[in-house]
Amino acid sequence: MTRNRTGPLLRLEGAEAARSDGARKLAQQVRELLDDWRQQGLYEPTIDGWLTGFSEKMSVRLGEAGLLGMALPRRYGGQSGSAIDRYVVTEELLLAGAPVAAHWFAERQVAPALLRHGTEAQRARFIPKIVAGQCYFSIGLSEPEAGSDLASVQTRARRFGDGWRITGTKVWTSQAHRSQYLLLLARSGEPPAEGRRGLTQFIVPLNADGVTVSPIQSMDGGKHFTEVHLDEVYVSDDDVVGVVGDAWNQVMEELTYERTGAERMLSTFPLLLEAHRALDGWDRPGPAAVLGRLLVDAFALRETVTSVVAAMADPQRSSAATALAKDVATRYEQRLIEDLRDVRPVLEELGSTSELNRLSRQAMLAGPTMTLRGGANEVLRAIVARDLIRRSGNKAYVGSPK
Amino acid sequence: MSEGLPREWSEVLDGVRRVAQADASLGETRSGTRLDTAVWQDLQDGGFTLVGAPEEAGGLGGPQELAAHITQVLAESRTSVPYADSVGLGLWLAVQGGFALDDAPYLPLIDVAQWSGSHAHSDPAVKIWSDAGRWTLDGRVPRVSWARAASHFLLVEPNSALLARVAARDCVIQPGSNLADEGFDTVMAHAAPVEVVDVDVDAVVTALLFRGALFRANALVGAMRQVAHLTVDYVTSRMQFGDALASLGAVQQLLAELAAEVVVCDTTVGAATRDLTRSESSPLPLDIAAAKARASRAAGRVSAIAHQLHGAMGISQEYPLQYWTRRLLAWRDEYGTEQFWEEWLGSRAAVLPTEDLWELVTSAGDSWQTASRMARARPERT
Repeated sequence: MTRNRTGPLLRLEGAEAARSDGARKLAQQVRELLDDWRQQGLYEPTIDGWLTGFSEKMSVRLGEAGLLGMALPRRYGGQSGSAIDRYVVTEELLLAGAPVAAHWFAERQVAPALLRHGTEAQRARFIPKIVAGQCYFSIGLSEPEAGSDLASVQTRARRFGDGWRITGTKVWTSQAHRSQYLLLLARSGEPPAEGRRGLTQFIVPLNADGVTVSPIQSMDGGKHFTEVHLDEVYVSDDDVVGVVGDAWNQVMEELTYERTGAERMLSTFPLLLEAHRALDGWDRPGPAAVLGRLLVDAFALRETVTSVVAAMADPQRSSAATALAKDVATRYEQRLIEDLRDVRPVLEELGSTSELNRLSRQAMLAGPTMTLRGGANEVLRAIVARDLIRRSGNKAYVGSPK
Repeated sequence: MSEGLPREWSEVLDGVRRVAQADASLGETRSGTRLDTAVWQDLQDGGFTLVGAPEEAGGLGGPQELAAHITQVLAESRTSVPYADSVGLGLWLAVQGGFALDDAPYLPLIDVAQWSGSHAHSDPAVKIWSDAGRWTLDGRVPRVSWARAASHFLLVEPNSALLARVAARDCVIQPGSNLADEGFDTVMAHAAPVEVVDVDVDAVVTALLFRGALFRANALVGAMRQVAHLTVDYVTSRMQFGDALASLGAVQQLLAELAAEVVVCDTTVGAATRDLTRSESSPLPLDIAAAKARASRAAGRVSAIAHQLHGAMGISQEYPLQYWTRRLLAWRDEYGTEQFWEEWLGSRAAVLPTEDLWELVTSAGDSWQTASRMARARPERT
């Protein structure tokens, strides 16, 4: 019959570091700097600043302030801090709605990938510039026929002299029309293997011959995503990241960095802050309950996500935990938009609401992407479920999902 | 949950599990309210009911946090005993009042559902008054959790700023039960003699509410984990359409949602519980409010998903699931529903400057101290 088992479903460790005095001081520093810059008119808060707010100036400024590369080694210009240090800094950037998209992907996942799998030459070449906010990467993973199913990528890399020629199409590639490099996943086996085998990651300069980038206009009117065509684009062996044919594991690791960022729960928080600032009557029972629930969930999710971040010393182990965290966090940041819409009619305006209206509109039109980007939540839930099923040890389960 | 705990604690919790599983009635189908007296006696004999009380006062010592973990382990097990209220609250109150711990079990004399807004309750009419130096109690308090198990009751009388102790034998106890078939008894006293001590009434009343919430939150997490394990077991063994239910994508989606609720609650309640230890004399209420709110809100969803995935089997009294889902449905309403705590937190967040809002979430900064001070004001009743 049923077994009476105790113990946690997934292993999570506390992340008390995220609530420490040290974290608070660091957060305060960043907040003051950003407030200053905002008052000087150096940026305007946006929803999804980490994805759509591409500003080389802001990235360079943050680099100069020593706020990039918090968790990257001092040897390459980083701060040699902890993952939680980095996390706390990113929170403040997201709360401020700062335009941090230019350096975001490079700093978040490319630098860690180079540290774990790259050559010393690649680390020396890219990481200092990433930390300086001067190096901008896009991530080439999805293709027209390979969205959630990354194992079915078809972009092909063939040996050519001391390097490779790459042909294929990547799509939904964020900011490729503005970045300098593409971290690209391609099929390199000869003959090409199926599925997860025979995949290699390459660094491709976006201004290389044969690269064509076509922006895709989103429903919010902006151009953040692109289609990238590669037509016999040449890269050298020096541009291979990690082991040829073994990129699947690397990519899965990078996804755990993607999925456990504060950007999974805070993309819309600037909207809540502005609603709190611009509207009156939050102390009435109805609005108070809505506000309270949003803060309760923020508290709970922050605790959950920082626990996963703190436990991620071994990214291979934490695939189900990061999938769970990303699913639950993005559902929250998406729901926040609707909750505020529901409560707004019973609140009063305290002066101008043009800022609130601007952020509301951005959020409403960006909402659908939140549970898709970084992995469609349904697929992530399947990963969580399979992990639970596998660990249950019950042999009856045989099939693949229907 | 045992991962990352000090070894001595793990040993204590293993001891609790052994006692709970020795319950001879485990295999029986149960109906009606029943206190597992054998297990309860074993827990008392083993000293587990003195965890968290200082040794100088006759307790076993150890941090408050351990008592909360024990609550969670007991909630995950089949056994039904008044641990949370007698140790988390009763024992603590007794220590505050300097009352002899030998006179345990102590239970707080409060209506645990008064913060639900769903019970047509009147303010429990309780008066204590002095006649030539002899203190006496009159009153009626409904929905006292497991009152029938008490040796003594402790109550705070706000008008007199006193903590009073009354013997259970001097009261009339009318049994009742909550949705989980736990004792939900009405206590009536008429000219019952009491002993009194002076206390900081506001602090004690606030602490009582928050401790109650925190211990219930721990109990909810324990019950949720058992529900999750039962559900994973069920969908991976039950065969339909030629394969286990777990092969259906729709089932996997719900399973993952259930797991997410449990993991988020486990982590959140764990954080609030750690804070209880760090500031034993003044628990940080915002953490606790968030923990109880989150656990109460998850309880309904976890119960609903578990029953949906179990199909008809889950509603049968013979099958164990409903034993724990009824605990979820009962405990989510005790010591404050999610609506109560969300509004409590939100009404305080409403009057803070916007710049300080994020600090509520990170439990940091001056606004935290401000909000904590605000929180120490007498909690309003719904």
